[in-house]
Amino acid sequence: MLEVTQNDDSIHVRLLGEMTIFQADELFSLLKPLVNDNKDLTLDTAAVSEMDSSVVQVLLVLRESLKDSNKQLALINHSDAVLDIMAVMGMSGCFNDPVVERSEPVNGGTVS
Amino acid sequence: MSMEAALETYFAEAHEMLEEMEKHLLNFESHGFIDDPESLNAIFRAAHTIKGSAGLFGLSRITHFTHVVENILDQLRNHELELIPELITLLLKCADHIAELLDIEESGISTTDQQTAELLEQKSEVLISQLNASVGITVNKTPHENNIIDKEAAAPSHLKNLPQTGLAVDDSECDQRLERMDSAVSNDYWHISVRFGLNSYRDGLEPSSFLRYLSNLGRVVHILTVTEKLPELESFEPESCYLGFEIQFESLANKQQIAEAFEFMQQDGLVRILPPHSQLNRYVELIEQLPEVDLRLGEILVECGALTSAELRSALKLQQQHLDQNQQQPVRLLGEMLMAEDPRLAQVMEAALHKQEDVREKVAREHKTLRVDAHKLDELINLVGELVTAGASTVLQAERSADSQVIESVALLNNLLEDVRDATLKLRMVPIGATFAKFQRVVRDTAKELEKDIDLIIKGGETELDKSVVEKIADPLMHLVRNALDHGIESPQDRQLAGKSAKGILTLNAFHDSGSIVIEVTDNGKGLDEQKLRQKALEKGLITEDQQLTRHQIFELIFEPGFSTATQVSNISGRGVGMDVVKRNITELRGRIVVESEAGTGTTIRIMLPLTLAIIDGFLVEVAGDSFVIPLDIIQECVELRASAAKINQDEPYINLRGQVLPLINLREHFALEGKPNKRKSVVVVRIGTQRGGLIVDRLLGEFQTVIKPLGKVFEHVSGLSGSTILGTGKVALILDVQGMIKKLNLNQTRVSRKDAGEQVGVKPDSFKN
Repeated sequence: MLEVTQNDDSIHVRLLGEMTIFQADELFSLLKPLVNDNKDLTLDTAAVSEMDSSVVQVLLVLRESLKDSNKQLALINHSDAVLDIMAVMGMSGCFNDPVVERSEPVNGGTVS
Repeated sequence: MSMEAALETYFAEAHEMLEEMEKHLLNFESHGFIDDPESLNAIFRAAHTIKGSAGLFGLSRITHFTHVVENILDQLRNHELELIPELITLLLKCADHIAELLDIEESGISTTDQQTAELLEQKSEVLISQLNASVGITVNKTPHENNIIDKEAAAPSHLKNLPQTGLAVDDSECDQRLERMDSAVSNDYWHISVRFGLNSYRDGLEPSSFLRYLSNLGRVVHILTVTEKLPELESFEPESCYLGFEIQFESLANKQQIAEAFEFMQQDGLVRILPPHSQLNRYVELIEQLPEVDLRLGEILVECGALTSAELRSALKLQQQHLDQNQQQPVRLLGEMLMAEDPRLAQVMEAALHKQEDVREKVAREHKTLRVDAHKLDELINLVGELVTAGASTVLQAERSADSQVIESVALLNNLLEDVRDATLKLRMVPIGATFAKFQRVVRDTAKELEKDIDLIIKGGETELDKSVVEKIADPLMHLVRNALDHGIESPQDRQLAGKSAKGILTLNAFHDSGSIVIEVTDNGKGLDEQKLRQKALEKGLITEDQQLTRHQIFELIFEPGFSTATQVSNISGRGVGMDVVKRNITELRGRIVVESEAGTGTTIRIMLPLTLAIIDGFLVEVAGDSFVIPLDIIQECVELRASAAKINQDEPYINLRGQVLPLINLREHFALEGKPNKRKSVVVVRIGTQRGGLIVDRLLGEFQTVIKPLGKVFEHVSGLSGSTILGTGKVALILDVQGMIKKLNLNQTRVSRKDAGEQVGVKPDSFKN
C-alpha cells in the first residue's frame, strides 16, 4: 500500500495501487502516526491507479493537522487518477502541488 | 436525455400547449366571455411554459414574443384587462405566430434563411404592437401597468404583493436594486449545494460519482469542496463522509433532472438547487438552511461565483432584518394572518385550499400519460407479431404430436399470445377526437373568410384508431372539410332563399363498424348536382355522351384528377388538386371513400379505414403450392369453379354467378406459377366498392390473421402484391393487392360486359378514359 522513507526533516511516502474507500481506513491508520512526527509530509502518487473522495478526505484531515504545527502536506508526481479526482472535486492545486494543467482550467472542474 | 431529444419533446409539448390555448380561446369566443379563471389560467400556463422552456433552449425569438403575450394574459387573469372578441382574435393570431416560430426553430431554418427569419421578426413586431395597442385601449383600470413589456415576468406576482415595509435597506453602498427581496442575482448558472450524509460511504455512495454524472447534464463551471464538517485528526473516521459541494452549473436541464442526479443521496444528505437568476431571498434561505456558519457559507458562495460580494452583503442584511422581525413577532403564514383578522374568511380559505388540491390532482392526472418513441412501439409490435407467428407454428407441432396435454397447454399459451398482441396493438390506438378538435379553428376561420355562418358538430371523438392512420388521415380530412365549407354549404342568403336556416352545419363523425373505422364528413349544404357533374365530366372528356352512369358513378367522378365544379377558384379549394389526392391517400391506407348526396339537403363523404395498418384479417389460399393471403373483409364468398361454367376465352375468363357476369383472374397465370394444376378449383369472390371479381385458386386454407411485413425493394414493381407474412410453418405467404388487380380486371371487363350485354358490373370511372 505504501512505502515510507524517513529523512531528517521530511517524510516521503509512496502510495501504491488503488486508493479508495476500501483502503481509506488502513491508509489513515498508517499515515496518522507520521503526522505526529512533526515533519513535512510528501506523498508520491505516481503509482496510484485509482483515488476517490474518501482518500482525498483523509489527505485533507492530515493536511489540516500538519498545518497546526506549521508543516506541509504535498503531493508529487500526480498520476492521472489523482489529477482526475482533484479536478472533479475542484481541488486542483490544493496541496501546494505543482499540478501540470491539462486542457481544462484549474477550477473548471470538468472531467477531462 | 440528449439535447436533441429534449428539444424534440419541447416542440411536441409546445404544440400541444398551443392547441390547448386555442381550444380555450375558441371556447371563450363561442360562449361569450364568462369569468372562468380556470380556462384563463390554462391559457396563461400554456404561454408561460412555452416561454420558459424556450428560454431554457435559448430560443430567444420565441421567448421574446411569448413574453409579451404572457403579460397580456397575466393582466387578463388579474382582471386588469377585459377579454373582448377582438383580443381573442388577436391572441389566436399570436398562437398561430408562436406555432410558426416553433416550426421555424424545429426545421432549423433560423440559421440558414435570413429572409424568413426577418419576415418572422417583422411579424412578431407587428403583433406585439397590436397587442400593446389593444392594451392601450382597454387598460384604463391600471394606467401604471401600461409599460408591460418592461415588467419583469420572472418574478412571480405573489412575491410582489408581499408587504415590503421594513425591508428597505439604508446602506447606500448596496445596489438599490437589491433592496427588494425579489430582485434577481446576476448569476447566470444553476447553483447546487450538496451536503453528503455521514454514512454515505457506508451506504456505498461515492460523492465524486455524483459529480461526474453531473457533467452528463451540463458543464460544471465551478466547484468548491466544502470541508467545514471535517473534524480534527483524532475524531476523524475515514469511513465517514464529511464532504459537501457548492457547484456552479451550466445546464439546459430542468430542476427535476438535476435533482434526479442526486436522487440516491437525498435521504441522508442535503441538496438545494437554485435556478439561474434566482431571487436574492432564495440565497438567504439557502444560507439559513445549510449547516455551515452563515457568514462562512456566504463567503463560500461568493468564492464559487454564485453571488457577488455586494449581493452577499444585501443578503446578510436582509437576513438580519428577517431575524429582527421574527424576534418581535413569530412568523405567521399569510393564510393564518388573514384568518386571524376575519374568522369568516376561514371557510373561504378552506374552499380555496380544496380547489388548489383539485387542481393539483388534475395536473397529476394529466401527466399520467407516458411519452414513448413510436419506433419502440413498432419494434414491440413487430416482435409480438413474430411471437404470434412462432406460436402458430408451435400449435401445428403440438397437433402433430397428438399429445392432448401438450395441445391443451399450447392452446392456452396461444390464447394468451393473442391477448398480448391485441393489447400491444391497442397501445398505438389514439382517439380521433384530437384530430377532429383541430377543425374547430379551421371551420371558424374559413367560415369567417367566406362570410358564412357555420357550426361544427363533432361526434364519436372517442373512437380509437391507429396513430399512424390518424396522422395520415389529417390531410385528406382537411381537404374534405374545406371542400364542404367552400362548395357544400351555401351563403346565408342562399340558404334562407332555399328555406333553410342561415346557419350551416358541418358534422364530423367517427365510429367503428365491423373491424374498420368509419369517418363521415357531413354538411347540410346544397348537395351534389348530378347534371352539373355530368356536364363537367363531358367537358373534360372523362365520359362520353352515350354512357349510362348510375348516380353513384356520377358522384365518383369528383375523385377524378383535375375535376372541379367550382366555377370560381377560391384560395380555400377549387384548385383542381384535392379530391383525387384524397382518394389516393385513402386508398393507400387500404381504405375506401364513398359519397352520398341529396340535392338541396347536403352531402356525406364517408371514409372507411382499417383499424390498423399493421395487421390484417386474411384468408389463406394456395395456388400451385404457394400460399397467398387475401384480406378477409373484401371477400364475399367462395364458390367451386366448374369447368363447364367457366368461359375461359384466353385472357378474359368470367363465369355466370347467379345470373351476373363475374370476371375472373387466374392467379396461376397472373403470377406465372408453374406446377401441376389442381383438378378442383375454387373461386374467391371479392368486392371492392361496387366492383366485383373472382380469383381462381387451387385450395382454400381458411382464415388467417397476420402481421403485415413490407415487401423488399425487389418486389417493388410486381403488380398484385401488397406485402408478405410468415406462416406458422415458416413459409412465406404473399398478401394480394386485390384492389389493384380488380382495377386492372375492370379495364378488360368493360368490353366483356358490352359484348355480353349482361348486367352491368360496377365500373370504375377510370375505365371510361380508355
